[in-house]
Amino acid sequence: MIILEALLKDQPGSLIEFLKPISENGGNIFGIIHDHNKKKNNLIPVHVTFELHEELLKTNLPKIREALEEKGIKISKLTQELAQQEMKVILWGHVFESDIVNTVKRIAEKGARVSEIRAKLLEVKDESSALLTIELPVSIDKETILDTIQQICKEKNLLLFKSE
Amino acid sequence: MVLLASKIIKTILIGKGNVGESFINLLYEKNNYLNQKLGIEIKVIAIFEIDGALIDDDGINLKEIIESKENFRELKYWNKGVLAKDKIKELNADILIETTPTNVKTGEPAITHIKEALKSNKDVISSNKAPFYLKYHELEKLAKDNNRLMRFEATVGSAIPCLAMEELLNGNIIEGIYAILNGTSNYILSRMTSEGISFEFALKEAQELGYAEADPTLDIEGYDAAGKLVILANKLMGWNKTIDDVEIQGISKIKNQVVELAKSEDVLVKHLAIAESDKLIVEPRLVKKDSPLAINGTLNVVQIKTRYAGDIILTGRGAGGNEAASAIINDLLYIVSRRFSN
Ligand SMILES: NC(=O)c1ccc[n+]([C@@H]2O[C@H](COP(=O)([O-])OP(=O)(O)OC[C@H]3O[C@@H](n4cnc5c(N)ncnc54)[C@H](OP(=O)(O)O)[C@@H]3O)[C@@H](O)[C@H]2O)c1
Repeated sequence: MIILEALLKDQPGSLIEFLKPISENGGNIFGIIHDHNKKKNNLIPVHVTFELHEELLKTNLPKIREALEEKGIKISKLTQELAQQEMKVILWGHVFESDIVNTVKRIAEKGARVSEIRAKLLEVKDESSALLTIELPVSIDKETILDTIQQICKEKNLLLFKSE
Repeated sequence: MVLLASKIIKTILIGKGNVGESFINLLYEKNNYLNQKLGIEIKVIAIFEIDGALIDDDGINLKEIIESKENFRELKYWNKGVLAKDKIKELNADILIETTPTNVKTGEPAITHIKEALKSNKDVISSNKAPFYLKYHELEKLAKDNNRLMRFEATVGSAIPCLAMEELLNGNIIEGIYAILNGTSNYILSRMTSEGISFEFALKEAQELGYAEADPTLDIEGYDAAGKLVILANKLMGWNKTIDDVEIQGISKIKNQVVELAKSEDVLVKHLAIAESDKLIVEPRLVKKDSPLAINGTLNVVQIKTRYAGDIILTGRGAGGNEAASAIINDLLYIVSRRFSN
């Protein structure tokens, strides 16, 4: 998902002019917020979200920027936000003694991020359970990450509880 | 269903245990209805036990059998030492009903009984699941080659009509199955969750209440659920699997800490049976509290994932003599409607 924010002159046709380069370069527009209430110095902020096919990202995103700048439009933001998905797993065993930092790093190597760990601890030497919340871009298949976690659990002799 | 006037259908029952006796009771109860509404009379011409058989070619008097209780061996048509495997072929009957105990390794004597019946012009109904998770395709082929019908609704979820979904969802495509197929393990996990008790304690409780066998291995280690999953996947999705193809993980290692941690996040630990992407898995999984799979106690649930209508969910009691017997009667009526209606 790409987010583009700019300031447009309050005159007829300016919004259409602004959107043209996006569609001409293969952008698929999802939403437009054109907020007249926030008009300042005859400029209205506009917020557009659109999608650009992965293959076009490198070539056409710069083209969109250039085309807008040529039209004299002031871009305040142009960023690509990766859509995220979340999953939870529980690990049981010597979760901490078996080097949880290593576990987290290995999940990160596959492109996912452990965003939260909740654990129940008895004594350090005892087995414990930890619930991991994992965030990953939608472009990565959950199964690949789960396979990695399964592999780690096998090596570290941990029990893995996946989500449904 | 239009039937020929007062058609007599002859059946053979093998096994007079919990399911077999429930079947006799239910048939006795329903026979009048079947007669008047459908114009059929279901006769039981033989009942085999492990050490002999009750045989009456004109149809056994069910009332007499019910009243004789454990003393049926004293009835005049009791034939000591006459065994099903030797006798099935020569008996003149339409349908054989198999309810002997499940032998997880060999599937016997049920497999032999079923084969003998199919080869001698008899349709088959079974509540015994082992033959179908060990030799599904061999038996299906034999039935087909002999132009016989074979039904086994009671093997998965007892009275829950999950195998019937094959026909009922013919216009759709079934892409996956998520299920809880063992009441004992579901009871144990439910109690661990609601009461905060240990696995061992919950198991003992289940045994005391009669929900778990003295040897609960098949239930808690996932073997029973795996067998049922194979049958579901083969029947509903046309797979060609046996129980050896299932990745199985039991619930006996689950500590209460894990269940508690899950609970604090509004998820439950459930023993799921999953058939998806050509894979069969039975293992404990985390299930959201508001998921249709979040059922408690000894209940079973089958979530059928369809291409055109999303999820279809069946839930109910997955075991019990009467439940199994009602599934057998349904199978019987299915066969009757296919074979004997105009
Ligand atoms: N009970 C349920 O809720 C339920 C539900 C669905 C499916 N099922 C399945 O249905 C089958 C029967 O279950 P059940 O609960 O009725 O078991 P059960 O009470 O043990 O009954 C089985 C009966 O079969 C007899 N038997 C054993 N070997 C035999 C042989 N070679 N020939 C003839 N009879 C033989 C047994 O006799 P002896 O006792 O003298 O050995 C017993 O009376 C099992 O395969 C079970 O898995 C059960």
